[in-house]
Amino acid sequence: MAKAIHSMIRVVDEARSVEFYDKAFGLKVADRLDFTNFTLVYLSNAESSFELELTVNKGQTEAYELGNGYGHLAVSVDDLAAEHARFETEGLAPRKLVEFAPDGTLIARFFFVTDPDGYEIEVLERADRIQRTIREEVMNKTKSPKGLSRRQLLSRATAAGASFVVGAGFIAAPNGAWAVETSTLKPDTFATLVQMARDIYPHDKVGDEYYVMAVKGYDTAEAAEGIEAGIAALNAAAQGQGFDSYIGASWERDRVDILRGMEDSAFFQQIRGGLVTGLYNQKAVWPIFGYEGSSYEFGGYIERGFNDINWL
Amino acid sequence: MTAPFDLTDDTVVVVIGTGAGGGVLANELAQKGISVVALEAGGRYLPEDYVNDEWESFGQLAWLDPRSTSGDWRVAKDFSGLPAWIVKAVGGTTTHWAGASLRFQDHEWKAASTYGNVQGANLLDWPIDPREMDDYYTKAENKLGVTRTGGREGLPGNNNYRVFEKGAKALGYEQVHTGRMAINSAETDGRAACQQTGFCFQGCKWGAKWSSAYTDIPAGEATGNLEVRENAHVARILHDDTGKVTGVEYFDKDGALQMQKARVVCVAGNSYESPRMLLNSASSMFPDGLANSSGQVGRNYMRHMTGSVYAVFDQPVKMWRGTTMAGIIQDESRHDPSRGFVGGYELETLALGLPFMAAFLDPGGWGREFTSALDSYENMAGMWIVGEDMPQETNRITLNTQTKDQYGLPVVNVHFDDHPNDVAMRNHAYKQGVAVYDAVGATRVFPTPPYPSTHNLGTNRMSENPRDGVVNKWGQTHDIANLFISDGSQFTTGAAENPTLTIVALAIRQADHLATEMSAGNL
Repeated sequence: MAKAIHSMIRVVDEARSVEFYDKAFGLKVADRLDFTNFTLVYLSNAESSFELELTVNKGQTEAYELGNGYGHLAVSVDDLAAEHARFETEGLAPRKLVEFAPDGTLIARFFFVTDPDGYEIEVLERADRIQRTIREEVMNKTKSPKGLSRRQLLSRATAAGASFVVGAGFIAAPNGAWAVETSTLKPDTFATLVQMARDIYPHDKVGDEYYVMAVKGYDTAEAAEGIEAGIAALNAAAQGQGFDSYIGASWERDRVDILRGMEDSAFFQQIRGGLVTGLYNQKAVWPIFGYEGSSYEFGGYIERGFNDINWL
Repeated sequence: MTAPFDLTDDTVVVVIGTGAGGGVLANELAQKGISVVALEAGGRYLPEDYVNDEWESFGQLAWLDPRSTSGDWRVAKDFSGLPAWIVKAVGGTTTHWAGASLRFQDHEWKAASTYGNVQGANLLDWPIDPREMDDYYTKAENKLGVTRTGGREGLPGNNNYRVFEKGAKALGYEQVHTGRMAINSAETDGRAACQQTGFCFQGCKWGAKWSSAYTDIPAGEATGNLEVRENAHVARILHDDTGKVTGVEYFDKDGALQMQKARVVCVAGNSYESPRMLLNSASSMFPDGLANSSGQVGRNYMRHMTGSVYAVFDQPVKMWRGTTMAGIIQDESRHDPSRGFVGGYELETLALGLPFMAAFLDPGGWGREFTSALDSYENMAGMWIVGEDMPQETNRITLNTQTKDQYGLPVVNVHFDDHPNDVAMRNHAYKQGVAVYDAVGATRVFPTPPYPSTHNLGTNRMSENPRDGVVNKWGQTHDIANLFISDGSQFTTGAAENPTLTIVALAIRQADHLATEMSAGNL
């Protein structure tokens, strides 16, 4: 079968286009071929082997006519809202974020952006949209409550274990991979809760954002009092063992010792019990463990390897 | 062509429950021209409704009304409000069952005679000769389309089976195959062949696995003699002053109390709900509940000796792919007291998805010992242990008058203590299961504790002598001639085999008996 390898557009200003595609989509120059009358630039990133080819005709100074036939290039991203916000911050002028829900069921969401030469690019949210929708609700990667950029937020961050507490009601991962607003719990409490969740069910290949999702449900008016009290008890237990706080214990074994001491408490059992479904029933987590989930819509495994074991 | 019957129609047989017992009985009676009203506590879900998602399916199908627990069984600690994993829906637990369809061994009908005196066990022989069951087992196998019977092919082995088989053969086990399964190995009667989808426990999306929900129930309805009332939760069974039952009170889908008159009442609500209904029907004439002159209603609760063994290998298995339970080792099902226990057990392949593995591998477990096991989920193989447990009088269903359900009715408390024979058998089975996987190079093994019970048996047991049990050899209560028990609660002893085939065979047999007695004017 034929494989799609690249699409070519003609651009006026090489540097301007290369900067745009890098900033917008992380597409870097994979190859550059310079000829007498023109230059070819191939852009790609690690997500796919597909390349965007830029043709720069030397001496061309006027804008190209794009006509009314060409449509757009499309890319997909993990977190559309975050990307949209980032595009705004970066001054890329994205158009409105649109949800396509013809009969009330969300099928897709996307926004359009235009490159320096006026070519349209559609930015879509990746598959598994239901799970994404849930993530959207609990995670808001770049929108700060005070309208700060992500970079500004991170520069103000103070360390809190695996996560940063970034001022009132907002915490973020040190690398900016995720961030979450808390509405009721103190950010320090929430950061400690996320660390506690990871220490109860530590999976080194599972990112913090999944633990954040698993415990975000406690950030409510009904649950907050009990959680604040539980985390306070956890910190008190840590102080009893000579640490500043639970998160102040850098080694997992020290934190686990602290948890063992309160294993029978209602608080510990509430958090542990909630994680059993809160963590492991996230569909986005399943592929990390190799679990394939629902198979009926793919016709089961009768022709997809139900007996393909090859090492016996 | 659903038959509508009047609430005041006292010529109908009322069947309570539509699973392996009630669903089959209702259809068999309807086929004989007998008018039947089947009352089903749950709603109607069909293959198009089932979901390949463990927790979502559990929310859709499982019986989640409150129950309480006591006793030394680990389920009482780990799942104190959920002693059983059974279904509240048309078709009952036949939507959830794995499909394993095994006949009892002859000696298992005569456990007391065969095993002799077992301290603390309330053993009794069934009042049925094994040879009486041969034809009924054949009829049941044909109804269910059981593989490896009646000329039907076996199912192909999946990855999980291939690991299991290789280990079993290495250990010298001989009775190893892909099981006798009520899952089509070829398209039959408009129902598809197995597509190796997995998710057998969540309702078969293809209808390849037999369930009364989409076989016996619609077949019975098509005769015009069967009306199934969904979302009809039975409160109590009524009787007249001659001691005959006269009808059934139930809450309809709107919560309104209704009363259906009846000529005969057949109770098939599983081993919790069936005794609960009898006990909740206590009256001045029957202060201890209906059919309870022996005091045995609710007693001798059995749940099979169960457990699982999972193992991790250095390479992928992907055990979740394909038929969940198409794999069995039968060599240990024999009665051989030299192993240190009476009775026997089967080893059957089993897989759970990641969400249920997290819930059931080591309930309450946490930390790296637990999570490193799940990190190897893709490389896991699994098997289930199912063996005969000892009936004990003190293992019982009682009414918990402190806790009421949504209708204000006392819920059941389920008390269970393992018998030393159960413990000895489980330990033996763990050892053998581990050995099977070690023989294939397992890097780590997990002898996993029992899940909430799906095989709930006893509690209205069958006995020759009315003092020893609740029903006679036909499932007719010793005390009340027109009151029958039609589910697994009539089991005298549990045997090592998965119970559904025997429940179905007994239901077919009971339908024959009821038709004969009704036409003779005895009922």
